[in-house]
Amino acid sequence: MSNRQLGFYVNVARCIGCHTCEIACKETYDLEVGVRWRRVRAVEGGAYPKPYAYFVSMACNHCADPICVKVCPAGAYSKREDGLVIHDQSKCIGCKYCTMACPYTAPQFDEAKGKMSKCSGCYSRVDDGKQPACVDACPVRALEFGPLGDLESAHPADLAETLPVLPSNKQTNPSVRFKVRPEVTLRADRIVDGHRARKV
Amino acid sequence: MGVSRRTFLAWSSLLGGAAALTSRLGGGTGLIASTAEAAGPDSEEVAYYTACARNCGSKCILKAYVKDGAIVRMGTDDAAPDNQLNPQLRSCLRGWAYRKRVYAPDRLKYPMKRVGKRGEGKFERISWDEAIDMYAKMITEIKDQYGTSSIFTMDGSGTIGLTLHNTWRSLGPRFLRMLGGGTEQSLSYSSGATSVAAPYTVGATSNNSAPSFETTKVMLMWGWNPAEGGTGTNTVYYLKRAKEKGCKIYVIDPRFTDTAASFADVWVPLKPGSDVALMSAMAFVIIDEKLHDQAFLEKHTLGYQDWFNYILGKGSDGQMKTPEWAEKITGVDANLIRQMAREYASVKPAALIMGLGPQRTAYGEQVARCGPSLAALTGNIGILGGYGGLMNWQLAFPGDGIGGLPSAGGKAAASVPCNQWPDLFLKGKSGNYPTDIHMAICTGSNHLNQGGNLNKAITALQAESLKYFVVHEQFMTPTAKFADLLLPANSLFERMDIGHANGAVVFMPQIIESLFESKSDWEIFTLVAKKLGMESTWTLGKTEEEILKELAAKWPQTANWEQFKKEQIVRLNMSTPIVGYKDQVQGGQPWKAPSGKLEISSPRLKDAKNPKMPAVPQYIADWESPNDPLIEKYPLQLIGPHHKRRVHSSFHNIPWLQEVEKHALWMNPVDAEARGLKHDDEIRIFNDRGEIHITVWVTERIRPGVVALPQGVWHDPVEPGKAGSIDKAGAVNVLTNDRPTPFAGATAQHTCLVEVAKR
Amino acid sequence: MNELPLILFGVLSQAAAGLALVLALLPLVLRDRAADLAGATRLAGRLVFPFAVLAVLASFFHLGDPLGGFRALSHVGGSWMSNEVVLAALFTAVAAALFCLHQWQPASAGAIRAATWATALVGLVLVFATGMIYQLPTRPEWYHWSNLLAGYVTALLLGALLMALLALWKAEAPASAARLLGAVALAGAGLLAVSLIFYAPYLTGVSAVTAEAVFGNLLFWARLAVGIGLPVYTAAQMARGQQPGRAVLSLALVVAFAGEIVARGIFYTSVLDQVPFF
Repeated sequence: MSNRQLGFYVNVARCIGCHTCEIACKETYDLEVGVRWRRVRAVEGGAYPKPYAYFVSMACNHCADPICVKVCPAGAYSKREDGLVIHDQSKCIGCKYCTMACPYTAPQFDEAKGKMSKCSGCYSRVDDGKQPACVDACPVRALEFGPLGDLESAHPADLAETLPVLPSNKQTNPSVRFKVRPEVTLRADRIVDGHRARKV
Repeated sequence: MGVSRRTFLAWSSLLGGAAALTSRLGGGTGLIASTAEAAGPDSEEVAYYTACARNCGSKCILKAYVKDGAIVRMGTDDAAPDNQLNPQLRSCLRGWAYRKRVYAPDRLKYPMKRVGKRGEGKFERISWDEAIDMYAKMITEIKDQYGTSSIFTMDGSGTIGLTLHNTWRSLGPRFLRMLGGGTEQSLSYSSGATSVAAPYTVGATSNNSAPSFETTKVMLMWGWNPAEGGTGTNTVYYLKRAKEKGCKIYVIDPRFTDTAASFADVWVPLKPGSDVALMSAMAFVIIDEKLHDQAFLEKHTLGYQDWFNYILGKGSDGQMKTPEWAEKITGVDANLIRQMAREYASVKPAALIMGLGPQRTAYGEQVARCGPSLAALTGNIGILGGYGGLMNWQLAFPGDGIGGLPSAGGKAAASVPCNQWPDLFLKGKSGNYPTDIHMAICTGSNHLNQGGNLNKAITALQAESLKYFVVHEQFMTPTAKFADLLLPANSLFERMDIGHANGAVVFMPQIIESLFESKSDWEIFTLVAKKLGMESTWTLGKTEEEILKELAAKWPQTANWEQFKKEQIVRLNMSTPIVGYKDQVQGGQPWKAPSGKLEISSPRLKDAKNPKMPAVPQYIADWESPNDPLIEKYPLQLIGPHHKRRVHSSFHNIPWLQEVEKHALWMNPVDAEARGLKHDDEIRIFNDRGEIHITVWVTERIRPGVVALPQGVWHDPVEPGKAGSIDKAGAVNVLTNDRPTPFAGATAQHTCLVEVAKR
Repeated sequence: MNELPLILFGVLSQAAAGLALVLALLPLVLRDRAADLAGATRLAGRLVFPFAVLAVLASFFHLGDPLGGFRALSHVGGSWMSNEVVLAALFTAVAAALFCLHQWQPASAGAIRAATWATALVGLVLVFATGMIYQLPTRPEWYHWSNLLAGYVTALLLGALLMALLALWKAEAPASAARLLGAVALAGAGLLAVSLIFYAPYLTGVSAVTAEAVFGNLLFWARLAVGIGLPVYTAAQMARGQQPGRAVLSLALVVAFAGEIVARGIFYTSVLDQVPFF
């Protein structure tokens, strides 16, 4: 029985790190500066003259076993039948426990509202039969979305359930699949996220 | 005030006709897209398409969802399903942020006149009547006293690819010509050296389209960063497809750019300004190992023997251009040079795609001539999957048949290379320029920020001889701060036009009313023309829509105006690759150089005996480079690459885009350590021309000896309006030079030495 | 230090729990000489409640939507934060009862003893719940049993020192009390030593960057040297039955408080500053 959990397919081999998916999402939902439902990071390593960098675009992984749902004291997170994990801002108290728990910095704190928010899987577009905004926006078509089983059978080659640079996927079982490139197995030096370079 | 007739017409056609949106593939049967789209659950939202007509090298399709007269959300091309042959013309992050630009809180709202000293940025509000009155009086005064030739059009690429409202080499010059002829700009900051030098080799430049690379087996992305810069809608998508088909890719660049990161099999980290040395060494290997395409050389080129002599050391310098010779100059390992040369020459088709960065150096002309020579050497020009070794602006796209904006009469009085404007303003005739400049009109440009030697440009704008400086702008840019008369311009959503997108022609409706008191440049010039009694000369006695309708009528695809307005998007067929120089190489047509051949050695240049523009492309050591004694004082080469956050200096002020990446100076750890610098430290970058205070971004992704500060950030001096004041924002041109290339007189902004120290 | 509200909640509630614990234990060593400590006992018994209230107030400053704080009770049993909120409320309630019993004399010794033990036990469970919040399998840097001891270190250290100072202030200083309080404080320090011995190698193996942020942090060592060092010195004196001077004891309490705040700050920043996790 094919896995019907909805999730993202991220073609790391193709991604050029342009951040279009990030801004398309911000525009679709009119997000404040500081609230990034999708985030593109550069993973850098190696040394001159042979450095490397690859780009990982990540939003919310709508985990099969979401820790945000577990830890939220206000019950603001819930998981739909199709697997999307939704955040109900009206219940949120802005305690930020989910940001401590989520391995993927998916929950984003909105200073102005005092509440969290995160990638909704574009569920209203999805319910309308459309693709998430980021998927439709990618200039190199590096993002896809759908039932994980379908994504897996459409992309049998070079498919991975995680990347070595990512936190372990054993705890929450994120609903994301990656098409890898050789550099992902190398020991990364740092992750660049906007204005920050964080050593790995 | 009531609604103007023009606005009424625009709105009624909008509301009346915007029911169905259909797209067509170049003449074939259409794919029906959605009807007047209810963009969200609220059915009062209506959606319109438009073209993002900016100077990133691409022109994509934007979608605006409008409710209650305001754009509430943006989208991109979804008028046809995405497909391999004719992919959607999707926008990049900057297009997606366009609504934030239109509604940015710092939009200029009303006309202003300067109070205080020019450049301090102090203004007081005036009415449009006052402003137009002032404008007309300024023109009349200068015209009467000095002649219209002393008026300079400082037009830029704020909008490009439009039909009516183009600022690029369009409205400003058209206005001045109408007045009697002003001083216009020749060349461009983009491809100045190439535009002058390339014809001496290829005659007339012609370019490939990105789909043509699908069969390329070896690609050299030379000083080209499409992953950040654009260079054509969907270009990176086509390039990715080529890569996935197995194309081997070299990226030649002092930086390990995002393009290098996501495309390169091999990074060739050369020193800025050493491109011709590297190409010459490649030629040496190819000739020496007999990998060259002799048949091609004999059939299509002129003078290759002269070039061979130069390469093989049989020329006047007696120097063999071996990889070892080049290694000293380029910093690239000799064996890597060999490897790249061999691969490029022994596999067909191979594409040497030269970006525009390398020719913005001291002897950019040589780059523009050497690239096509190298492509000809291997027979990789004019064939599918190959490339001509030079870029004149951007890759090719199918054309359309829509007419160009008719002139309003007159012609230019004089023309000066755009990048030489500070020198022109300061010296005029005494500097051997054809005119003295007493007035300048700036449209769609941020010349002060974007040209070399910013501090000199400040003195140029503050020159006594420059009596009047009028700026049409959307924001208080560094250039706008120097205006005497500052007029608020509107955005492309606030007026009607036809856009030549990359792969489509787009009817661009007026989607919203002009914000505050802003007006289009066309409207502004119309009002000034009216004041000067020349309104119908300027407008041709027609409304904007009438003009556009007439131009659209010249092409069958858009001749039915009402249908074009309804359809909005007329797609051009991207699936047939365009191959530059195909007519010459495959079609038997003569090259457009005088001999009818590709002139590797140019007889005209041979006769001219100019050592700075020799008959064959030659490596000439750059001034202000590792060859220059100045390197003792300023040991680092500085380049100012493009950044994905901005289109040049546009979008600088958009917080979402500022969030994307930090503006800082890229520096290799070796250079950082030598200066006691850690990542994120506060630094000063300085040379004899100026000083910048910023932070350092220590990274392995740049070669030692080179630092990079992306161009386009708005100059922010400690003391406004004062030349030489320290810049706190990181505007790279505070440090760059305005010394032009010797033959074309083009910009050489990537030839620059600096030192960096901890602050 | 933008986690200061959370830090204060932790340290204040743990100090309160520790104070309640020593209040429960002291009668066991004082036996029939409990009256020797009557003044300090009454004062301490009334201090637990305001500490608890301050702790809860501090926690509200952490919330983005403080007025919605009551919604934090929506996931009891599932979320350790909900559990903590319930326990904090319960702790405050029993501490309030203890306050009332001490405030409005006469109250039966039995009632006071029951209320004291209830407060102490609820307090200890609250400390446990607070620690469990950070036992996230997705946060390997925190996911080690030693981090559960930290709250108890704070409780024992601060509770004991605070009580000792109150006793000195009330000029009530029976030797047996001093020995107990010294022992409790030393036990706190001992728990810290145990937790560090096991946590250090674990953390170094899990995240070099976080380990550097902790063990490479000057404040970490300063907290040990001063914030634990001085309290241990005075506690050792007390454990031997000696009475430390008021100035020294006051200083010990102050540096202990500061030290616990610093330690909690390092706990948060060493992990949360490493964003993006991804």
